[in-house]
Amino acid sequence: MADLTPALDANAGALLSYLERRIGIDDAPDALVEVMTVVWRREADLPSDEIDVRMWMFGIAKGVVANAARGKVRRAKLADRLRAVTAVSSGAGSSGAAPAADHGHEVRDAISRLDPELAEVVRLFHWDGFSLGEVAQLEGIPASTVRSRYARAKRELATALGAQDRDSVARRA
Amino acid sequence: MTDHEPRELDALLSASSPATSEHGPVRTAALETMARDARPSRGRRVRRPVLVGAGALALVFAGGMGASAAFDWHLPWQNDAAGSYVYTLPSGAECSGILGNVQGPANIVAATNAFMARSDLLDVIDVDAAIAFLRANPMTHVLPDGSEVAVVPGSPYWTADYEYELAFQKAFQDGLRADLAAEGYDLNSLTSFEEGFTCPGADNPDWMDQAGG
Repeated sequence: MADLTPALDANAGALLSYLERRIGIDDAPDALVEVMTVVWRREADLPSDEIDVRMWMFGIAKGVVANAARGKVRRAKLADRLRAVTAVSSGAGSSGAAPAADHGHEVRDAISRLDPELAEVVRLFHWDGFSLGEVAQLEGIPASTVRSRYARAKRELATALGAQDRDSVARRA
Repeated sequence: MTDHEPRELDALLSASSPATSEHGPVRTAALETMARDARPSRGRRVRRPVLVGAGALALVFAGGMGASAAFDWHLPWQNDAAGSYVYTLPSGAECSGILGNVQGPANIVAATNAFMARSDLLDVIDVDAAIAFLRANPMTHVLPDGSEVAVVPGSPYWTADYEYELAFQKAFQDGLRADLAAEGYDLNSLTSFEEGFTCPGADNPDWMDQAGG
């Protein structure tokens, strides 16, 4: 069994970013507290391989996001310090925050209109940086299924965004 | 642009990622602190104000700080706890806990502390009513595949101990809400309070261990 503290240190930043992308910067610190609490309580299950550790922690985070979607994120005092930091750093004029909030609004809308199973593959691959193999591991489905979902998602997005572009051109004309 | 070539589409999708907080040493330090602070102390759990409940059976209140005070809760406020309790679960396992670290407007904090310190606390909260409510409005549990199951008697996600433990929490919160209302205060005006509790030997559903609940 690997040592949990360095494993958390190594993955906490990516976990926070994942939670911020899924449920927003405001709620993400509280969700991360839940993730870390579960991780600690399941310390005995910690995989020995670094990659497996990452996938294991993201699997836990995925469950927390599912609960968050049902309004179950609870404010946690442990999150206060991090919330103060992230709230400031995500504010206007921040130079280091990753992509601006409205930069991909239309594309995010198109993704959200996909079948949820397709949309999640796109998000995990393009937003969170997982390989399709890792997406398969995280979702608990065969890699071939992930590949076919991804291909279908890309076809549907290309069509949707192409149509959107044509509409925009027509409106501007 | 009327059509998206594969590479162009890839770039669009990657660029559509929602904003995240700025990465840097301050964020990293806060994350490291959180990772260590989130480590649970053995035998201790902390709950925030949003409590949900279910359950029934004999309650035994230790009163004052009694036996709970001797337990090391690893909570910074444990020596200033407003109150404590001990009750027995359907299995016979005993739960004990401390209440305190109340935050909010001074007058409501004082009223809350007074309620928590009541020696007849277990007489003024209605656990049976909380059980009835929870059975009429069952909680749901989200399975790893995302599906939801009802936490009801007879299901593998329910045990009598778990139901009772939840009911106690709901009954306490309902009792506190009513007590504050009687004094003209709104529970929602309270910022937070905390509870440390332990129920060694409780018969909890398997998913609680798997989920760290």
